[in-house]
Amino acid sequence: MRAQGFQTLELRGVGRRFGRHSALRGLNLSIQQGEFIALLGPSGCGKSTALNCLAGLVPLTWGSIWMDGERFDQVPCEKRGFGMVFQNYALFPHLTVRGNVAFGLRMRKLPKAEIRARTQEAIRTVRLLDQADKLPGQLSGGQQQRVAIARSIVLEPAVMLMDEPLSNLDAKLRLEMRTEIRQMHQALGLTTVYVTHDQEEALSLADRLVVLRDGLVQQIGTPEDLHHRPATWHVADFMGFRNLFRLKVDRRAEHGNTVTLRGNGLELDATAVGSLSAGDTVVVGIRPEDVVVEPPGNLSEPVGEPGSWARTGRAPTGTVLDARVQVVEFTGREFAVQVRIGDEVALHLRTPQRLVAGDPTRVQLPVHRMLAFPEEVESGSSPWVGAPTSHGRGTGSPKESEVGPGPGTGSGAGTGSGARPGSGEQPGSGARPGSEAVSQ
Amino acid sequence: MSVSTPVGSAVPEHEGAGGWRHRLAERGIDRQLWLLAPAVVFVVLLFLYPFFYGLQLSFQPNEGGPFSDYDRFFSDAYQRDTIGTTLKLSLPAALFNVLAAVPLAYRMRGRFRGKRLVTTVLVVPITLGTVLTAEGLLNYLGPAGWFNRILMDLHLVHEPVTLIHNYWGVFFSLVITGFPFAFLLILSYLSGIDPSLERAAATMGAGWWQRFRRITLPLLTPGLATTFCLTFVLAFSVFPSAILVGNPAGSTRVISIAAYQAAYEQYDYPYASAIAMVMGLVELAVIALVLLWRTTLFKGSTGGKG
Ligand SMILES: Nc1ncnc2c1ncn2[C@@H]1O[C@H](COP(=O)(O)OP(=O)(O)OP(=O)(O)O)[C@@H](O)[C@H]1O
Ligand SMILES: [Mg+2]
Repeated sequence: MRAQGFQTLELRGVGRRFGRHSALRGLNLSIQQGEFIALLGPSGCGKSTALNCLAGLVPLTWGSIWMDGERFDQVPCEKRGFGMVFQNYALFPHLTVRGNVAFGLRMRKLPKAEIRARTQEAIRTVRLLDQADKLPGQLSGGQQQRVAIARSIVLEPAVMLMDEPLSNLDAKLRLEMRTEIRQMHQALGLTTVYVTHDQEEALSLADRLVVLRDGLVQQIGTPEDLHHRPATWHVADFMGFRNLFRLKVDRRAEHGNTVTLRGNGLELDATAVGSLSAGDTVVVGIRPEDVVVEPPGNLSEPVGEPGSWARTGRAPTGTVLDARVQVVEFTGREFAVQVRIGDEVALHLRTPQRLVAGDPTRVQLPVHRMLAFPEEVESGSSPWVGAPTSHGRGTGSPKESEVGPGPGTGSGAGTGSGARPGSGEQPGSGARPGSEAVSQ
Repeated sequence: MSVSTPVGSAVPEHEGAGGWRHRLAERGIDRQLWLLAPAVVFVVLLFLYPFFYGLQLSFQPNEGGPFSDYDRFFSDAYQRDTIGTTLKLSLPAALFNVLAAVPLAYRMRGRFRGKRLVTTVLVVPITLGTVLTAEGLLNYLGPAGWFNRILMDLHLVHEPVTLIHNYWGVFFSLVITGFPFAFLLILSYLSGIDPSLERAAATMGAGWWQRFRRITLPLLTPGLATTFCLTFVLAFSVFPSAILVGNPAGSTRVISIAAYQAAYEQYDYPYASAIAMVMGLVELAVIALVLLWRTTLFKGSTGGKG
């Protein structure tokens, strides 16, 4: 049963245990033909385990895999017809680059001329023609990695599993290879599952992202979903929310989901993600790009008061705080700055303004960019209830319309943006300023 | 050379001493080499000294010129044939041990419950020693032993098969003592091969036979050559079982018996030394052939963790 021209590949409650340790638990995912899925998460969260389960390299402890309604997890690895780029490359040390790349074609007993032509083409794609007759031991790490990529793309497998295939390349080559992978994906319509640490890579390549943590799915959704509406602070952490603080909820607005937080000598307004009530400990986060530095002229004016929405009834725009510049790094187009706010809380921000270390300044934290997450949440259910989901929003690009889970894909739990109807815990959350966030 | 380079001339006084020390270190020669001194002394005293003593003794025969003992050995067909007899025993035995150990070790390369038990059971014959094995064989394979009784009860044969006091008795004993050795060596060579290589081959559509044939076997072959050499050397110097379960006067009169007789029945030490030297030369020749063949194979790292 070789995977060719399938419609959906479905993982139902897939899990794997090593000894007493559960490396992966309850992974529900429905992959459409031609989709590009990125698996994202910190080291040791079970990404490679998930790929190995899909490839059939380790037996499942729990769950099942289905292809177009047929049970697939009992099919042996060599019969699945999935290609895989291994995290440790796993190149055959006794074969040359050419021999490595040709291996799979030889196994298919293709004509010699075709093997030679396709091998050559794949080696050209990864820019290794001048190294083609070397043994893997004579190559640099990045060159070996490219051989590993060439070795699996040459087979044009129906499903391509890539375990951090670009981790060892320099920045320029990584961008080139990323484009190659994307192009190949589009040209051949290869379904791809791609493991990466790099959120930028994941956002730019994938149709849908799966964020894992400790073997559990944190969130599944489109890049836009995850970028604008991370479900937990762990996801936010991965999505570039470099500033994360632990604070306490002081009070919350009757309407909308603005909360005022207090702690560490700070008092600030934020948008609640999920149900929060006064006294809860939250993790609040904001991206460095979203912090606004007030122009120097405004320094003399008094600081805007947090919680002013309670009196004025107007939606607040942001909390303004006094800060002291600590570290300034020039990054080319702008400055990456670290300032101190409140009781020595470090805040990272980016600004074109030339700030000087040691100087006082004033920063504004826009409320709708400042997301407050419950400290611990059950994973799987999205707190962004009422917010437009990827299905509703998928009007623009054709890419998006095909990524949602198709009708009748089994339980469907955990697919799409994960906004389950049963998890509406947040009254009146429709007032979330989502429309602004989208325009980011 | 480096003296003429601008960098080198900037520090002229350190150039000389630092230069050659650095060059030696690049070839792996530095002060840490002194740590090898005890081992070198040990090898010289325990191995090289007896060897050279025997070598010079073999050139001082009781009568005749320096090579007359060698001459005696090769001109006497009864003595000369011991080389062939020994090779006929040790080469097939070593080959059998290696070839039989490969599939078993291949099956057992992964981790599974009870692996340690199986390994222990297989190692026991090594620890038992040749004499105990030979006695067991005498009882088991003898005319009234279990093996023949089972064959006769099954009416497969009408009279007992002769399996001891001939070639086969010694062959079995060489297998019993040599096989576990070969198995353990090959198992460790196999665990040195990165298991993800076979997995990668599987994702490229290779079935188990192709994975073995195209990936594991080529990476294992250098190890097989080494294992063959070691079990061959063990089998070539067979002595107790050739006497106990063999036919020491005829079909299993191996070369070590000839050397023993020269030394302890005729008390002709130079002649015994000469025979021992011939024995060593034959072993060296076989090993050299095998290793020569090995150099034509892949010899890089097998990417394993072992
Ligand atoms: N063969 C194994 N035996 C025992 N434990 C394992 C095995 N493979 C993985 N694990 C454990 O499972 C967990 C997940 O491992 P996995 O390799 O999937 O992580 P990962 O997400 O790929 O991490 P990284 O980004 O560092 O590659 C880890 O805690 C690891 O210790
Ligand atoms: Mg991994």
